[in-house]
Amino acid sequence: MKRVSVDIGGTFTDCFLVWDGQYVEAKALTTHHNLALGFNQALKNAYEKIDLDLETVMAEADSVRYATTLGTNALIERKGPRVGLLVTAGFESTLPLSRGRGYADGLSERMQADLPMAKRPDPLVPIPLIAGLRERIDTNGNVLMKLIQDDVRRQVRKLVDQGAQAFVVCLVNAVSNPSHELLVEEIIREEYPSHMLGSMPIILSHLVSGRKGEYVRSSSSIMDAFLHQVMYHGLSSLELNLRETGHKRPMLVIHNSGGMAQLNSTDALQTIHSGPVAGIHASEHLAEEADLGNVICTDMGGTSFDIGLVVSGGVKFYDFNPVIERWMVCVPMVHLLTLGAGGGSIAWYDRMHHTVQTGPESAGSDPGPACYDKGGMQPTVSDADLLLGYLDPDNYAGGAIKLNPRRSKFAMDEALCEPLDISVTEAALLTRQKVDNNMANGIFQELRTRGYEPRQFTMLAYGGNGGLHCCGIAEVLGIDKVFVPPFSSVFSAVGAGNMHQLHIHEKSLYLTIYDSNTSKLFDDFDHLNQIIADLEEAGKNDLLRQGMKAGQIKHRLEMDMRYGNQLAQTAVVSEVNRIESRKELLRLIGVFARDYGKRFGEGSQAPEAGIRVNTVRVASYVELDTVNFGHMRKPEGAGNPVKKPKDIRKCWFVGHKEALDTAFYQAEDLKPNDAIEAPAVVVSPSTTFLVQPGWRLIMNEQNAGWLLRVDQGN
Amino acid sequence: MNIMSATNKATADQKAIGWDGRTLVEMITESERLFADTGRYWGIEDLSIKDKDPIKYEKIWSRLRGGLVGARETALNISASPIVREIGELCFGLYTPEGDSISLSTGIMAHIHTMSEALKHIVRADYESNPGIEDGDIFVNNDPQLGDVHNADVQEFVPIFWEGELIAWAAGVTHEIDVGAPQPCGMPVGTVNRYEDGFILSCEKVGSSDRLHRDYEHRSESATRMPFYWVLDEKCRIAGCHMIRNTVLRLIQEEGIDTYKTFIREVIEDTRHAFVNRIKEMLVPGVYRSPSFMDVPHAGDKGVMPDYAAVDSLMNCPLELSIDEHGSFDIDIDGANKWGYHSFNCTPSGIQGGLWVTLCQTLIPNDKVNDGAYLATTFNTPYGTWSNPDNLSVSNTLSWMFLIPCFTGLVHSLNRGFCGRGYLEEIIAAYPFTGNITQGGGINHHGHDGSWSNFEHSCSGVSARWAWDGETSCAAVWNPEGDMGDVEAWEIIEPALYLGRNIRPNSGGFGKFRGGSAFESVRMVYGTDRQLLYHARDGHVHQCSGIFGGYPGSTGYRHTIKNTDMKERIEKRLPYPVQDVDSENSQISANINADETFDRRLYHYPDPHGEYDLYLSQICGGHGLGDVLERRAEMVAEDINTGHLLERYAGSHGVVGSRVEDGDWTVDATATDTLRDEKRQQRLAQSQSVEEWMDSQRDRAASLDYNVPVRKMHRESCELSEKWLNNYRSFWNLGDDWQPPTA
Repeated sequence: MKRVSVDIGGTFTDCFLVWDGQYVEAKALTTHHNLALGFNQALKNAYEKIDLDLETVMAEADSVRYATTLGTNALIERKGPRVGLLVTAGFESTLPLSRGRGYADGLSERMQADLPMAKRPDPLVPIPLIAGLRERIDTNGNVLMKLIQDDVRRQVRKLVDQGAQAFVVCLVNAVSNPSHELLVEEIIREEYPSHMLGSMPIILSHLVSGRKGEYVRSSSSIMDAFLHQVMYHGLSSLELNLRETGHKRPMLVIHNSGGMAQLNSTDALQTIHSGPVAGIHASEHLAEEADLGNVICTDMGGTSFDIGLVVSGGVKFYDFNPVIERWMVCVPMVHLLTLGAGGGSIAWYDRMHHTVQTGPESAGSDPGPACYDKGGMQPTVSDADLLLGYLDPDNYAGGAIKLNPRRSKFAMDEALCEPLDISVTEAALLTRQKVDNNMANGIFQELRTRGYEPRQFTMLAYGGNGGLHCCGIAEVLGIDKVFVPPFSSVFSAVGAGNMHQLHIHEKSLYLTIYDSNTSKLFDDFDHLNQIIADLEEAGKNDLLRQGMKAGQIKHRLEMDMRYGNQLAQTAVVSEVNRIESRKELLRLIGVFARDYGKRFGEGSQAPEAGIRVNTVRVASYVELDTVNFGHMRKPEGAGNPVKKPKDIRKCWFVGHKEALDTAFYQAEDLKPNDAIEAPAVVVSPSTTFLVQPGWRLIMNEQNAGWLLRVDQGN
Repeated sequence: MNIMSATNKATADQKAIGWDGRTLVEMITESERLFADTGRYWGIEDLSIKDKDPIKYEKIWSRLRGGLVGARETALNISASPIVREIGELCFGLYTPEGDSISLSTGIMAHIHTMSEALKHIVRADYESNPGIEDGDIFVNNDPQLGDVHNADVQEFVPIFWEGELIAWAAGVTHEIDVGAPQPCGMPVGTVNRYEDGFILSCEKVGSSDRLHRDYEHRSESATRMPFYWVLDEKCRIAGCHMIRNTVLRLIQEEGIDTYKTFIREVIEDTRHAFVNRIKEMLVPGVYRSPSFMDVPHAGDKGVMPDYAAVDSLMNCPLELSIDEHGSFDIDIDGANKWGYHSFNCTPSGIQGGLWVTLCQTLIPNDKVNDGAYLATTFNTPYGTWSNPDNLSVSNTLSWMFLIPCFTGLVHSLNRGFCGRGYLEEIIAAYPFTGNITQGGGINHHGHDGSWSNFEHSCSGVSARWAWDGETSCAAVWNPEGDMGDVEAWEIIEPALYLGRNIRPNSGGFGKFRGGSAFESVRMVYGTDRQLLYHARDGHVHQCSGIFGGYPGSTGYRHTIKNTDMKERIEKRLPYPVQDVDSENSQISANINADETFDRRLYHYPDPHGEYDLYLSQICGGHGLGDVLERRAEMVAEDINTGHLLERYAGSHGVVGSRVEDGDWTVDATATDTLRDEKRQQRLAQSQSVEEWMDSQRDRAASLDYNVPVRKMHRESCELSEKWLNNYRSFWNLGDDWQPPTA
């Protein structure tokens, strides 16, 4: 396998190169003005480590894969065309009203509750660029009021006069009957034919999402239209860069649905958050190969803490209405929770409760934590870690940043010690405890919401600060196994390298498969199977267009099911791809009841309210070669004790009144199966492992390591 | 092993379930005595865990709160009701054995103390002896007399035991779509007594061994319309309570029962102390007064309501907040008038619901809220008034109607305190009323007999802030997770097709900074010929008001449109109404032929509608802040150009302008300056001193020369409160022998 995988982040471009069994990680600064420059540098840093050259890599690589934040940046910077929105007359305020909740989407719980400060983000489509069309389709898809074509032409011209450069059409109940949206497209094409210079892109909402909900469908379509051009140009220039450097195959773009595809089969919306999603995918692959069972994926960086779940048995967690930046959309995205917690999270005095709080505000990278000595005056989590003795002031981030503990002390003293009347060390310990608690609570809620117990999980900790805080988080949760994976600082790029080609198509149905009033089971199997076949066909065509062979293509059938009118739905993976008999339908209902009971408790099932299918979803995919993680299994024994540390220093730990003698090691001095007893710190160029009292670290290959609670039979 | 069986081995001879062999009655008596004697919860002097090990203290708090939030997030997936799932009308709490709240999840904070009241009833009424409180039991309550706001909010309680001792209660509450009242829906208007309020469960034991009793299941299924909503919501509440129980038992396994017992009392005392500190920090000591009113226009319902109930009346809430230098926080509504034969009466428990909703969004917007804060406050709800009726049979299905308006006075008082301390960013010109509440029932578009309760009113305009306008339609004060829902989602379950849902001009109160605009929905009864529809919001009276010279948001009106030609319009593709826009120039009237009624009767007995009849629902806008003549003229132009203000109201702001070629309305700066100067001169010319005005009004005050509802309201207040009567005499200088007219 010869593969290049790249994750372009806000600060760094990460590269993971797989070359005939050799695995190489490398980083370079992201070059926002021309992403290709950062890509080329990161790739150079990688291939030079194994004595290759650019021509060889580009010519021989079987694929080049990208995960990118290009779309997120474009949204933040509002770089996009003027989008004109056509809606059903009477619903011109749907977007400005944003279901009322638009002011709160993307904000923390505390900020949502602060109504006196409520403010919506600047709109992607201003009110003058919204026009209503006289038409109406009812909830069942019946045409109640026919579209008036002259009305459409008039409104389209009006929007063009207002400066519209692209159109989004979102009509009420279009997912039940798309005929009016299709007719609008036809009329716009007549007015502005595609071969003319004045031609404009048209996005129809029912094609972006097959789900009911006119607000989220319109916001999704608008975001797609808004990002389309900038993403096309950005990604095309990257693809051109590949061509110029000798790569002849199409570039593959990572999707937030957990798959990837060529540019011609990629919606702009599908690329948002694709980097963190790739990290979750890598975790899933690692969990499978190393037999880890259920895994919580955590990525703790400087400003945020990403949480994802991988559950054994193939259950997938998607967000069907994720919030992107400040807008709720409706594209199926691998579920990911981001908390405002990281090394840069600011610690502050809570006057009301006379205690310390951390985040969500972050000192960022500029000015950064007080210890960076770049003008930051507020204490942060990294300042606390430094004051507790875990960080080496002269060797932080491989020596790239010199830390100044005096600044940390000063900031901690002024912000926390004075009002709380505690020492600097106590303030640092409280800060650390608070941030660990916050992250643990985030994980706890993620698990409990889905009916899982933390103890059933192994925690995977990656990102720059993952190894430093994972023991503290795991202790709060009662988790006794933490794995810091190989290549943890470029783990998302690793995930990109392991993706399969996948496309998801879905359709809202609202089928009653068990009517509790009449005690009847659904029996129109032909109708249901035709819908499934149509969705499979759409997925198959996507994959064929990318050069896949029909024989390679597999499909997975999922249904979103609910009892009665429950709005929350449980995604059920069907054991068969066609429902052809009462027996198979009952088996599907049985799987639903089993999964539902597992999540919400036995006895909480309610077939007496009826059973319905809201959405049918088909994931079409082609499995490709992946990186081998089979050797990363949890060690059986206690490992080989390492007796001689590089250094012994005093460090403070939560729950200990005095500083403890703490052993310091360099990761490159350690071998697989070496066991480090607590308290200890192991420093590698990409991460720092903190072995808290009560834990043991057993090293694995490629600087990976297992942190195990010694009192839990590990 | 099941965590319950591992932890609940009571000794054979142990009978009392309280701590250290005491009964629950003994525990609550002791708790209240110690608080009365010392002013501190359980007489606690030192916070031993927080002082000695603040990290452990925070850890335990995080575990408990996380467990509650997690329970809520999980359980809401079980509910079928859009009110619970999308609007977030549910909440979970953890309570001490005596019923004091320890922690609350996110959600409708109103119930922080209402559930406490219900649990205290269970304790005081000695349920320990009869019907007994055992591990695995389930209790249900929706009786406002015992502890609730109204019976649409159904509460579930699950006792948590450790080695035979009751160590906590897990509690959950959800809002129900239908309560089995004679009128369909969860919050009927026009009920005149408790016996019309529907299904009322007065702290009943309805389950054992973690399962509901079958007789109760059958009763609830037969007592309500759309029983599957009730069933699934009940499962939602029970599942959440059981998750909370697991969290508590695990915590005890890890930290020990003694630590847990110490913690739950300390955290309440700590919160009491924190609340007092907050008062001292944020507010200026003094007495703050601010009244509010609500119209109850039932005179038009003669013939469908009993004669004694079909009258117009007015409710008042003369709120007085006293704060001293030690951080006391005492509210008194002495002078409130009498309860009435309508749905809007309240109970002291309901009042607490309104109070905590308001405080959680204003004074204490954080996650550490419990009964410690309750203990730091007092609230006088005079007996015999609408807030504490002396007749147990009064109706309270719509207590909420006056709860939000009546706390306008509290928000205004807090604003003045914030302003005095310089916390200007905290100021918001009160909260708008939560309405219009659209409810209905009958044969629905699926052919079933059902009811519905649309919750798009959970989003209203935000009032103006100190330095900027209120935001257009956001979550209402009672739930920061409010969501008006998608039209496509509501139409699946409601037989009323939306013709339009748009921002309503002029709905936000005018001022230097404008209240946030609301929206209006035009709906057409569709797929059925049998629907009863209600309205519920302010029509005659500005229930809430602006601040520092700002105007309140607009009141609503009823525009009933029946026997329409909509069917013909649809067939012939003729214009049809999608918005009303302007009550003086109705766009509905302009685009339809129908029997129309315009009036201000927005609380009325349910009204029958047939297919193609239209229903207009206007949601409330926010209130304004500051003088309209100080509003920047360009902001007025922008309001007009973006549909927030009708053009002819530019002059109300002293702004002059006109439309230009591109259709935008632009300001004529010179003419504006001139008009504003004129308006200021007019104000001066019309002004009079307070003394002059008092003199001019004194005769009216003496004879209560007001309209009938106002006169009745005054008379009731004077009859119910000697103090109020004396204040009235003294304020208007009427002399000690003045008596209010008897009719």
